[in-house]
Amino acid sequence: MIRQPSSFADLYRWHNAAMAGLNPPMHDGEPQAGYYKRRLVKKGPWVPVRIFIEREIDPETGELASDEVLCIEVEGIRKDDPADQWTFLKPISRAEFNHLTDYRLRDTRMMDSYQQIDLSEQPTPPQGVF
Amino acid sequence: MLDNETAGIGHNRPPAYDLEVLTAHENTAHEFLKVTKQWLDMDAIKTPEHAEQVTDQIDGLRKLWNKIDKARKAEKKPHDDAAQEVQDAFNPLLTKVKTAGDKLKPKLAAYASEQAKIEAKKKAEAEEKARKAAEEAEAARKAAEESNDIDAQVEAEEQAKAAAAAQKAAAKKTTTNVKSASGAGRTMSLRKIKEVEITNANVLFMAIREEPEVQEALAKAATRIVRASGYDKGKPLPGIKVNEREVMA
Repeated sequence: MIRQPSSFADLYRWHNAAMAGLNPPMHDGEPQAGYYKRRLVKKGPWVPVRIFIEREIDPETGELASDEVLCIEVEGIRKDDPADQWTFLKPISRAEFNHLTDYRLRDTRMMDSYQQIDLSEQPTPPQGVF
Repeated sequence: MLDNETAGIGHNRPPAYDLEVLTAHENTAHEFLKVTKQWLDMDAIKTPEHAEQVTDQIDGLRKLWNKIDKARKAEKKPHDDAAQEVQDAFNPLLTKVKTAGDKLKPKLAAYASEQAKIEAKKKAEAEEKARKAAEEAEAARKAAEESNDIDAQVEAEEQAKAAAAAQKAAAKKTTTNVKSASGAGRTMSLRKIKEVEITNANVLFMAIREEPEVQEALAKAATRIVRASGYDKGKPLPGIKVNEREVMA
């Protein structure tokens, strides 16, 4: 049986619907590819999360050479099963994902994802303004 | 301080609060104010990133305010408790003494009011008597003038003078004061005070609608009604203009 790789529209159907504001249902144990954020502790900083597909495509035939496997990266680190994280995730746009990935390196309070942030401990200055 | 004096407890007057707590909060607040100045010095917020950061700053300021307020309450609590203890100890006694005095006042008022009635009666009688004497003196004077009797004329004049003096004495205001028995206390007297009972609210409102208290009460009630849910759907209030103002919350 010939196996065709899934298209982008198929893989990201759920995420695209979420971005379009259609509020697709989030079923336990059915993770979907896309861009997300989550908190690892209550009142902690947002952490970027990405769910994506890993697969091998035969360059000659364009057919799948292996299974399509859903993978997950939490703050850029590979985790075992996307289903473990799925219910904690909040879908965000790719632009917001990129911004979050960048911004958490610029705000020292967001460095430790397991540390609660107390905004009253230190002020928030305007970044890029001196 | 002189050498021969001993330092008693609290002689250097420590503050009534924990200075270390206050200083710590002051330092944090100083940092926040410095950064707030940085924000204020910016022309305007143009990027979403700055908007999100200023949200964090405002939230931080609010949380810091809460923290400092919590510290203030904690520092104030022992003093409040002590003050409350003093109040609890003294107030019942004050209430008892005040109530005792208030209970006695009507009794004295009844006496004073009775005395006032007696005085008024006496005054009316004296006035009547003086008036009659003056009339008699006037008649005697006329009779003496007609008779050319010098003796009678002089006597009539004396009589008229006495009558005038009696009238003046009768017209003098009487007092209903009750003096202190020993002389050390305050003299008390009957006093009239005015109290208002509204019989027609509409007419009263028309008469005093320009008073500032009335205006204030109207504005307060109107604001409450306008802010309540369902005002837009219901009947609008006459005589007001609703101004909408935007604030960040």
